[in-house]
Amino acid sequence: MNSNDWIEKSLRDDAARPLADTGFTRRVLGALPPPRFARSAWLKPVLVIGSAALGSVLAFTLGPSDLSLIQGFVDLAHSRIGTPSALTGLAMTLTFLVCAVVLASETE
Amino acid sequence: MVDAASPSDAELILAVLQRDDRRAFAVLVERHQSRVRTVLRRLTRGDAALADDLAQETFVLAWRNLKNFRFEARFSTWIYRIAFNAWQSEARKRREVSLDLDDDVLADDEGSNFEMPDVAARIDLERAMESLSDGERAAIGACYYADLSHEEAAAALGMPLGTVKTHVLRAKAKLRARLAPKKEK
Repeated sequence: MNSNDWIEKSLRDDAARPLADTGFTRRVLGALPPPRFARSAWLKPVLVIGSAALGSVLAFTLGPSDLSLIQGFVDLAHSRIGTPSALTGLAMTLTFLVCAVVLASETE
Repeated sequence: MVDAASPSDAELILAVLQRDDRRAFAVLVERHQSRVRTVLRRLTRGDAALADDLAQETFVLAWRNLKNFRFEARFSTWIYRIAFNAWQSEARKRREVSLDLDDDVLADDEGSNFEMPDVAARIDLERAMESLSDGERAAIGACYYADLSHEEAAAALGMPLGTVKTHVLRAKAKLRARLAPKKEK
């Protein structure tokens, strides 16, 4: 056996010598993050979009009686962005755009 | 050692990913803890408490990043890479260690041994390992304790391949020099 052989054998024997667990695995499990809350994948999109839709409906029904969403988009199409209807339409569009961006940026 | 009846590492990882199965992860930890803790003990110059803290950090990081595991690689290779990273960042925190610059450490170690030749003659493998530089211990740890190829070790340690080979050769020469007198007795 040449000199490198016994060095390599010593190293490999040392590496292979079993080390008793002595509670190590339990310690690791105790340090893990808490279990994930099991919920369906559809719950978050429904919550985000549902909240936005509910907010939009409330804003629309509680707004001035002459408020018309269709009129708002007509105003926007004619570049009249200062009217209450146009601002409502713009706000709702932006709200849903933000919801879409939030959901699209979700990585988990 | 994994017997035929027990699930493979890949099956256990899938169980963790699909069902958040902590029992499956416990089996993975039990299976790999011995080697991971041993290599970290050698890297930390025999500091068992620090090595176990780093090993725990290694497995927790593995849990958190298991979704990034590529199944074409061995789980052991992947876990050793995390262990080496944990050790390197701990070593840098303590004294800004550089794995490539080892001459100062070597000089200090040799100096201390020249002062105590009788002790140096009786050191065992563990003590001899402690006398290696950080880079050499890392290379020996990766290639012999973690059983990585030189290429895998270079990737795991973030060192050029040539540096890994040089560290391994130098380390073995030093170990031979330190252990040969003991072996001859």
